[in-house]
Amino acid sequence: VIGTEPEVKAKYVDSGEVKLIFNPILDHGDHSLQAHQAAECAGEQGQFWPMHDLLFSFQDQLWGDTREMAKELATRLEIDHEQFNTCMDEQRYAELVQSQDQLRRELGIRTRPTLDVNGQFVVGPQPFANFEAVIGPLLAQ
Amino acid sequence: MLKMMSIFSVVTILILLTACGATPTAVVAPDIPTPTSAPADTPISEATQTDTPIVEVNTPTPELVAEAPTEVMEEPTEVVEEPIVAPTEEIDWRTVEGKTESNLTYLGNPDAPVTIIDYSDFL
Repeated sequence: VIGTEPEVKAKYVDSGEVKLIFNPILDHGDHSLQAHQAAECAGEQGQFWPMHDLLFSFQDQLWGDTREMAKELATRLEIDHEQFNTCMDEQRYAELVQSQDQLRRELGIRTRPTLDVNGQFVVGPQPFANFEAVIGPLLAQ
Repeated sequence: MLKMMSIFSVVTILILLTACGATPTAVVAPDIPTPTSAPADTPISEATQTDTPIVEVNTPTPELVAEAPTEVMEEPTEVVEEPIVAPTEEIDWRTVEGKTESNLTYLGNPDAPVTIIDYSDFL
């Protein structure tokens, strides 16, 4: 959802009208598992969303050694890097991320991205106007 | 005896003079203080001296003056000025992150009226 996410953040998250929750989808095996754990390990230090943004920005470089790439990306964040690397090496959040992905499967969500907007599903890449059409009436209620 | 007779004669003469209206100023003992100035022709007797009422005049003593009511200065009460509340800075919700009950990470206002759950992968 990186395509429209910046616009959603700018218009609705910034204003406090929308809370954005991230639920991982593990569609690419260990690459996905390492990338989502990287976000969780950064999240230990309050930097989940900055790492989330970095992972999307360097998406095309995650196909190699994803764990090492995640460690390199983490150096761009103002966090305790040793703690981050230990977290990654311990695979501290592997079970959590897998359980969240499993819950997604049980909900029948198969398409990336899928956005659940107060129970209304917006499936697949959509122009920002489509999100506005869903969010706007909810805020007007 | 002779001396006694001379004193008696003097006293007798004085009594006669007094009875004839002469002013006995020379006879009045000068060392007897008179509390008030009496008319010159008023005979002075012991009775008038002892019966003179003593009038006490209450004059304010220095202590009483000191105890006189003075203007009470009220202690200045400390004026507590209420702090000027600066306008609350707007929260940068894009820096607020937390965990949901299901341990998913959220961004933004936790009490926002709209919740978007983004199911996605980084690759």
